[in-house]
Amino acid sequence: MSELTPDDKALLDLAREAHEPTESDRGRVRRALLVQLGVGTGLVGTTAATSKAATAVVVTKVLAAVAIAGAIGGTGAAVYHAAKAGPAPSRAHAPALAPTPTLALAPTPALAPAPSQGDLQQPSSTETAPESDDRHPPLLPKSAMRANNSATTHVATPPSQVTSPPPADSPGPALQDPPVTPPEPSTANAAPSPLPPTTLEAETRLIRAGIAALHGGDAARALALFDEHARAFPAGALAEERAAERVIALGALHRCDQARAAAADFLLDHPHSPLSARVREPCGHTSNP
Amino acid sequence: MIAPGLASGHDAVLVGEERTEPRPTFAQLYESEFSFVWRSARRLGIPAALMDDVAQEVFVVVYRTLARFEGRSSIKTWLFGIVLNVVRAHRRRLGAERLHAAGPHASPDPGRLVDTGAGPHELATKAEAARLVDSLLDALDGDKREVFVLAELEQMSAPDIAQAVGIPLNTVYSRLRLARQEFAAAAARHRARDEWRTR
Repeated sequence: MSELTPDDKALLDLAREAHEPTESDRGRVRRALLVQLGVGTGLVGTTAATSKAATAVVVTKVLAAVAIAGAIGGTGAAVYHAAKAGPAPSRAHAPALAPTPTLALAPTPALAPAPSQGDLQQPSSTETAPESDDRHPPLLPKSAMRANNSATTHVATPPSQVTSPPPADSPGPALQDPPVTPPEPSTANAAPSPLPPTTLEAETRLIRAGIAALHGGDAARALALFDEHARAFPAGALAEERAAERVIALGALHRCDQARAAAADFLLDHPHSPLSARVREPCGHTSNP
Repeated sequence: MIAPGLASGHDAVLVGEERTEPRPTFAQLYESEFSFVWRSARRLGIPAALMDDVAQEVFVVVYRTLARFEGRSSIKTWLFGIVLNVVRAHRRRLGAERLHAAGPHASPDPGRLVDTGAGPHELATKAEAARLVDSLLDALDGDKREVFVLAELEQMSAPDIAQAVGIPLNTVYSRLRLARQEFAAAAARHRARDEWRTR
C-alpha cells in the first residue's frame, strides 16, 4: 500500500536519526521537571542524590537556573493553559490518555478503575493548589514541593486503591514514585513542617532577589545582591549562577570593561557552563565602553 | 511520613506489586522514552526553540497520569497520545500566531516549502536530509503528518497508530495513503528540480 519510492524511503532512513535529543536536552528538561514536580519524581537518581543534602543542592540550584531562565521560558505557561482550556476534541479515550491534569480527574469507570471516594470530592481543591505553584516554583523547595507532590500524587492515587490493591491489570499508581508515597492525604492540607532555613535557601534567596532586581531594571541593586552572595558564599552552590548574573548586571550598568573581565573570568572558571552563552557579549556586539 | 503506619503499609503493597509486575517508574520512563518524546514532537513540527517547554509539559502529564496507564496499549502509544495532545495545543497556538502574523503565506505550498535550495551534494548529509524531510512533513496537514511520522519514521504498526492517535484503523490506512501520496509527490518535485538544476 506504500506509494513511497525507494528514494523516498532512503531519504526517510537518512532523516530518521535526526531530531534525537542531546544529552544536554535530556538534562535540561530533567532539571526543569525536578523543579516543577519536586524530588518525588525519582529523577534525581542519576546524581546519586540519596541524601537530603544532595537533593537540596540539586533542587535549589535548579530553582536558580529556572529563575535565570524565567524570562525566556514564558511560553510554557501559556501552552499549559491552552491545553487545559481546550483539550483535543476528538479523543475517544481521553481519560486514559489524560492530556492535562484536569482531565486526569474525570472519573471514567471503564478506564479508571481506581477512583472511588476521594477522587470525586478532592479534585478541585487538590488540583488547583499544585498547579498554581507549578509555574512559580516555591522558594522553599523541600517543604513546599513535598506538599505539592503529595497533593498531586493523591489526586492520581486515592488511598482506597492503595490499601485494597486493585486487580492485576490495573496499575499501582504510586509505584512510580517511591519517595512520594509515604505522605498520606492529610499532608496536602496540613501545614508542612517548616524546615530550618539552610545556607542553600539563603543562597537561593539572594540570587533570586538579584535576578528579580535585574529583571525589574534595578541592575545596581542586583549587582549589590550578587556581590553580597559572593562575599557570603564565595564557593556556594550557586556561585556559577551568581557569576553569570553578575556579568549581566555589569553589562546592564554599562560597566563594560568590568563586565567583559568578569565574563572572561566566568568562561575560564566554567568553560562548559550552560550559562556561558549568556555572558559572552555582556555589552552587545557593537557597543563600545 | 506523618502517619507512618499507613505509609509503611502503602509501601509494602507497592513493593510487592512491583516485584510481581514490573512497571516503569517515572524516572525509568524518562530515561527510556525521553528520546521518543523529543523526536516525536520535533517530527510533528515543534521547533527546536519550543522543545524544552513541550518535553517538559509532556512529562508533567506523564507524571500525573502514569497511575492511570492501564497497559491496554503499549507505553509508546500511550506516550504518543500525550505528546500529540501537547503538540496539538502548541500547534493551535502557533497556528493562530502564524495566521495572524503571516496572513496568506500561512497556508503551506508544498512546492515552495520543499525548495530549500538544497542540492544533491548537500543532501548527502543527514542534516540536510532531515531538513528536507522537515519541509516535506510541514507540507502535510497535521492529521496526515501524525500518521505518517508514526508509520514511516517510527515504524509503528497501523493498529498501534490507531490507538496512539485515537482514530479508527481504517482512518489510519486512508490517512497514511494520502500522506504517502503527498509526501512522494512533493519529494518527486524536489528531485525533479534538483536534477533539472544540476544536469
